Amino acid sequence: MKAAEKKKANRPRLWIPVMILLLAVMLFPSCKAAAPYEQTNYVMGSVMQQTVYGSSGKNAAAEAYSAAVDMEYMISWKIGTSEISRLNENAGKEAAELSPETASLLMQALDLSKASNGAFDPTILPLSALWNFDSNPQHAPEQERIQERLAFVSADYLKVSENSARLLKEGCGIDLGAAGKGAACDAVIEVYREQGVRAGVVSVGGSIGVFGRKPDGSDYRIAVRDPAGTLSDTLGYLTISTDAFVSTSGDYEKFFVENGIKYSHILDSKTGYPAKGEAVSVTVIANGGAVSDMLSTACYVLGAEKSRSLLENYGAAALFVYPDGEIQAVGDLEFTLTNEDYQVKTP
Amino acid sequence: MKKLFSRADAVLIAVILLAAAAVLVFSAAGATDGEAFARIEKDGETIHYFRLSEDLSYREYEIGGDIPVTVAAEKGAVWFLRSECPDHLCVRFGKLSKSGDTAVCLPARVSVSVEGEKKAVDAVTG
Repeated sequence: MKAAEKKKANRPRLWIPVMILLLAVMLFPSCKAAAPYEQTNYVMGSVMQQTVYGSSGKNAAAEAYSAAVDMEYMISWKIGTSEISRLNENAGKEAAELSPETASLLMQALDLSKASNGAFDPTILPLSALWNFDSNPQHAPEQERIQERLAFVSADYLKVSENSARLLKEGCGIDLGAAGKGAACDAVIEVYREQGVRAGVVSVGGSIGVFGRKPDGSDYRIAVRDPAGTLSDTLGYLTISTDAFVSTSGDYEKFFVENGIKYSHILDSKTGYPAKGEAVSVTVIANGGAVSDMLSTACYVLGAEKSRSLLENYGAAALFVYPDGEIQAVGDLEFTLTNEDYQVKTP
Repeated sequence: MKKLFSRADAVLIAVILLAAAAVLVFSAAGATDGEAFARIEKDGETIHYFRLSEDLSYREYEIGGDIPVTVAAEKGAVWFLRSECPDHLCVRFGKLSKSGDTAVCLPARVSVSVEGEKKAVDAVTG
């Protein structure tokens, strides 16, 4: 071997350490995931909290908040300029033009109303406005007036197409209060997807949307409030690995007591009175936000046994909490009980 | 036969691996130190942010606005002490101490939350 070649052979092979160094530089930042971006806002009369993972988290959270506000301004019957207000004003007259988002939500509401045999009913406005659970002081309406209003509540009076809807009878009205917060979660998760965030969790009131897998590889834990406890007491938590939506309906959320009778805000469209649910709260996990919200109301009204096929149709699952402290899971979900005052009913 | 590593290569690789191990150990230690912080927000903007240590002395934060509220903190906990809101639901949240705990006064648009390295839960439904 010539002297020059020998020298070359003995030279340290620099590419090996250089490669390792490059690898190290690339891997170290991901060893400890960057802190997620967190934001609190107010929408639909509720708190909206976001935890967004990924470099575009801040922008995505801002855009997601404005998507939720836009949703409120499209679907709230309490906002005079909303699409739903326009639809209600034109009841019995003509069809109202709708954005694709509002039309799609109404379509989902109509489907779920039919699937639940009216346990969830988007045409509940004549009754919900009469009961007006936001008023102060609160009184139960007279029976005659409830009977009068019942004549205007039926999903049969609602016709929806891709870009318009029509209420067939004057006096009918749409109230999407039992779908709105879930629909806002849908809109937020859509923004996360468009913005390419890594993962995120949003809550609007008690409705939750989960997107993607958490960067540290752990599952999401969604705590379920204790209906009988303080506002920060929980029953336990649902474990979710990725994309899902959770909503809860219960008689403890909004109610009043008059002459010793408790009137809860979840109305039964068949009787016109607050639904006499067997459970005090129902938490639903589903693959859509509006769907989870509407299902939680429907399942509260129907009770566990009558909810089984409905939940199955929507690929959803639910947790029913009873006044005696029993918790019943219907469908496939993972719940960990942490509250000693409760017990999980075995199937 | 050619050697895969020269002596110089081996030394450099060893140094890099040791450095990598050191970084991993330190970052893991940082992730489990269990420090908690309290965040008080008004209209979604942070107005107070402080370490919620176990030896924190009692303090009150007066938050003005149309509906004034008072938030108190002491010994690893933070809570709504008083509020001039109509329903006082915020006071019913009680003391918050675990990472992820949040209480809100909706009429005053004030929220109080505990933040830490690892949240006990990611969100609350109900």
